[in-house]
Amino acid sequence: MHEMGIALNILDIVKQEMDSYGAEKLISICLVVGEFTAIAHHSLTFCLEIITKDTPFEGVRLEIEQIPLIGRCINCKNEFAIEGNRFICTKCSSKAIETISGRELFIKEIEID
Amino acid sequence: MKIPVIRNILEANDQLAAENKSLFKQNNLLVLNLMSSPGAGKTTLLERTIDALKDKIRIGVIEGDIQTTFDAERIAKKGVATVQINTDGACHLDGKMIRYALKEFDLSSLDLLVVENVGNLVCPAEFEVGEDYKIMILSVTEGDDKPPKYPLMFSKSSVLLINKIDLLPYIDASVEKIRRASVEINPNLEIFEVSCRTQTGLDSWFNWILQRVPKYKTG
Repeated sequence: MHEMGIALNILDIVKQEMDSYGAEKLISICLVVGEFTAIAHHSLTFCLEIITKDTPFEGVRLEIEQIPLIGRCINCKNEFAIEGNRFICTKCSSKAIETISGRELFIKEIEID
Repeated sequence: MKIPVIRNILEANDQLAAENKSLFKQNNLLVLNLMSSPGAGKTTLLERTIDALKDKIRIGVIEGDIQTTFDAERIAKKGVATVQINTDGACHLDGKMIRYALKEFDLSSLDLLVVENVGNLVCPAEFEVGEDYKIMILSVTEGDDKPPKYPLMFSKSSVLLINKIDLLPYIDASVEKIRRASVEINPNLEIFEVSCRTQTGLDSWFNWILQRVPKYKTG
């Protein structure tokens, strides 16, 4: 539901970057999105299509790299994929888990001409 | 030509939220971001909280709703400073909306500011507003399967109030199941079982707030 706001933020940042490079044509945007964010990929792609329609950015390609949710046990240092939202160490059952990936939400690169 | 960017998509909001936060700190203010599904009992919890605490601390409320001023009218009746934000469709409050609303308050005359977010168990969790703590309510009538279905909000909240426990005899939800699943997602979550309607279990919640209000703590 909030993907439209996210899409507008993305476009703002991309415009700033393009200005700083003096670029005119935008070919693609590559995002890094963690598994543990509330972002629906298809909805984000759809919103970006809508806000770029009839603009110089129409047809821009959106690539999304999804990052898995990985935790590290503070107790035994075990690193493991967190599945089914179980933030519990798969080795020692400790609940002291730090999230080392899966919360990312950033623009990695853009392709311009 | 590919160029690296590496910029946080929510940087504009995070920046505004950080500015709000420093404003709150300057004014020695405790700020809570209250989130839940529509109808879980956010406004009723606020009414009860204001009744219990308004003689001890000075309270302000920002009401977030897509439309209407119903909630702000309910809260204003309690005699506390209240500002309604209508998001006109947006499913969450963000740092910028809060910034605008803050202009309507004299922050130095408050000890506690509660931001009642738009009723929604998903989106508000992604957007910081500058709060000290995220507080969520899950009412038992929503079902005990909600924590794993909406993990982000459970993961980012500091407190979970399980509301409407007076209805437990009439429904199949298990508080134990809600507790177990919530703590799996967030072991540090503090959980209070309450009924705002019958005013059960609320004292621990009131104490939780008082222990964190800067001016009350110092004397």
